[in-house]
Amino acid sequence: MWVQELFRRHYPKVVSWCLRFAGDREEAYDLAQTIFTKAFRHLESFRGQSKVSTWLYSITRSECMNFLKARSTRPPAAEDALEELPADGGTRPDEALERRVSAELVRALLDQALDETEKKVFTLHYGDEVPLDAITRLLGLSNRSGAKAYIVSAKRKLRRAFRRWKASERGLDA
Amino acid sequence: MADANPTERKGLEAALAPTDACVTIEQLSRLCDADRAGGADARAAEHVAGCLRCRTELALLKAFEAASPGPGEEEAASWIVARLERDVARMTGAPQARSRFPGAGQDQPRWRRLLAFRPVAGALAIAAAMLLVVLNVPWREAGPPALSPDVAGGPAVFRSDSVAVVGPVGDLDEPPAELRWEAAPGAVSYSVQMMEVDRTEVWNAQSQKASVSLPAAVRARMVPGKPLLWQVVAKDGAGKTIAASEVQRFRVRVRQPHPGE
Repeated sequence: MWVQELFRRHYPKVVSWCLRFAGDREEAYDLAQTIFTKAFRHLESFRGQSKVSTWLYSITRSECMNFLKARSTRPPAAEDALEELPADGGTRPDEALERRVSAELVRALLDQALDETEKKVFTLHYGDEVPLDAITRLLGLSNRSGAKAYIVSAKRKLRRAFRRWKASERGLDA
Repeated sequence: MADANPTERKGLEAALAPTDACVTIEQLSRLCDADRAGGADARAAEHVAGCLRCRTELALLKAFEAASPGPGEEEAASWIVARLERDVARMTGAPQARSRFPGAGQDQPRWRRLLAFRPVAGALAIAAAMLLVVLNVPWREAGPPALSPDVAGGPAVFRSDSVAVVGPVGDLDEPPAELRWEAAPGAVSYSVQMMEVDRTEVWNAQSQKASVSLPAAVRARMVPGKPLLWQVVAKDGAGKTIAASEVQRFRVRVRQPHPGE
């Protein structure tokens, strides 16, 4: 009974999270059920060194990412098409960055050029492969295009930052 | 994403991947609870401040901690919670509580649900788990694994940050009558807190001595198998905290029936 009471306290968090990841009631239920089954199975290994909510979060995060990986084998959603993003002429910044600069420089450019929301959207989308619609729900983005708008503006800013960096490199070389 | 050229993404993925220096989820959790941040967390905070990856993880954790169904999600959330209540009751073997949520049991499962987890698969999973227990553990030893260390056998003293705890710690045969610790130098009083594993407070008390008796009402809440946490904080004459024990964990063993019982 105490397990039921314990889990009941955390249903709202986990269920909201699953709804935002899955965007669908049935799939969110599947996810939440997997999370609590796993939590129940591993309850004995929980030593109280962190909060229960933190422990549940780590299970939830891991299961949600597994869910996204499994779903990514399905046909891609239209909003995921990077090709739709404006090219702004010339070389795409991520392509050029990949060829020319190290991960450290990419991180520095991202950090300098983007605002905090753009950074989070970028990290979740490119670092964790979270689809844009799920990011929109997770971060509670209320603008019309959601996370996609942040990706577009972030890419634009990144492109400009990369041009500035290239120009400064040329200046140093000269 | 799946239709993006992977070579374009490589640099970004490398830049946004976690590094060895990135902090753990527990450290992030402590950063969320700013009042609990100590020296070790100051280093974590410094890393997080300069790490895009960790800042995003921290934002996600904070969003999770604050998450509750929004206006458009309430109906779906209630539907899911009603089913989780049923599933968890099955898992724990407890009688199913009457659902407080609308929509419970009103609709028929879809065909795919029959193939996924639902009642049959759930029962099979529980049966499989029970079978594993039976196959791997002698039945008289079945039950929760032992918490270590166990204070029942001797006068072991458990050193912690500053206040050394005597007991209870680990698995116990009976609910303890008192909490005991070693007197901390300079301490005038002690503040004791007992908690459930999610840190919800069960009981607290103040004591001038290095022990405190547990009221019958608190002992009655020590259900066999249920872990409880406790911590003692030593205070000086001005009521200022001068030392604290680590959080201790104990539980009353689940009594196994003897043959013929």
